[in-house]
Amino acid sequence: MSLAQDLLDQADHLINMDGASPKQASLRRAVSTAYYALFHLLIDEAVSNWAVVRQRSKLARTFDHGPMKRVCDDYVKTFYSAGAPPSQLALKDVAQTFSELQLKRHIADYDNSYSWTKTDAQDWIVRTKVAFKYWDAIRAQAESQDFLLSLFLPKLTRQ
Amino acid sequence: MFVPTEVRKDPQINTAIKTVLSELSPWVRYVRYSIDQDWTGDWAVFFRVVLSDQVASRTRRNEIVGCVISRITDELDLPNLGMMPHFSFRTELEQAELNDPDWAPLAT
Repeated sequence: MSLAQDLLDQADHLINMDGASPKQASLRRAVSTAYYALFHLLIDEAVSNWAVVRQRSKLARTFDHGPMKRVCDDYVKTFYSAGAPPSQLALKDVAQTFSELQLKRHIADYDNSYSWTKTDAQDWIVRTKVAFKYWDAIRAQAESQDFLLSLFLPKLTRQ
Repeated sequence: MFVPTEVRKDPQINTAIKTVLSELSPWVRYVRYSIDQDWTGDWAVFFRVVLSDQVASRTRRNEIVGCVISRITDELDLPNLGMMPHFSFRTELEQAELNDPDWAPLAT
C-alpha cells in the first residue's frame, strides 16, 4: 500500500483511538495526517512520471507547501473564470480540498486557541477521502497531468 | 485585524450566504464569516457554518458539508472576490457546549 493511503488510514485510526471523547492531540494529529496523505498522494503521482526511478525521492523533496497551495488556489479561481466546466469539477474539488486541508493542518499544528471537535476533524478526513476518490477517477486525464506539472513547477502557472 | 477596503467584499459574501441558506435550510442554521490572512499571507474568507442538530448522522453530515462548500464557493464569484473561502462546521449542540462567541449567532 502507498504511503499516502497508509497516512489516510492512520488519520482514521487517530480520530477513533480515544472513543467518544478524543484528546485534542489525537484530533490535531488526525487532521495534520490527512493533509499529508493528500500532499504525498499528489507528489507521488507527479514524480511517478519521472523515468529515472532512483531520482524520484530527490524530486519529491523539492515540492513546497506554500507554492503548491497557490497553484491550487489559482486552479480553483481559473475554474470559475472559465465558466465552471463540468469536466474539470473533480480536479477543482481536489485542488480546493488541498488548499483547505493545508490551512487546517496549520491550525492543527500551531493554533492552540482552536478547539477541535471530533466531527469537525472527521469532516476533513472525509473530504480527504473524497479527494482521493476523485483523483483516482481523473488521474490519467491531460488536465490532471498538467495540474501535477504545475505543482512541481509552480512558476509555470504564474506565467 | 485591519482589513483593507479593497479586500472587503461583504455584500458579495452576504448574498452568497443568503442564497445557500435558503437552499439548505433547515440543515444549515446560520453562517458567520471573517476576512483574514491565511498562514501564507493571502487574504481569505473564513466561514463558520453552524448546522442543525438534525444533521447528526455521519452520512447526512458528509452530504451537507460537501453541499455547503460547493454551493458557497459557486456563489462567491471567486475571480472577482480575489480570495479563497475556507470552511469550518459545528452543530448547534457542539456550539452550545463550546460557547465560542465567534460562532454565536449575530443579534438581529
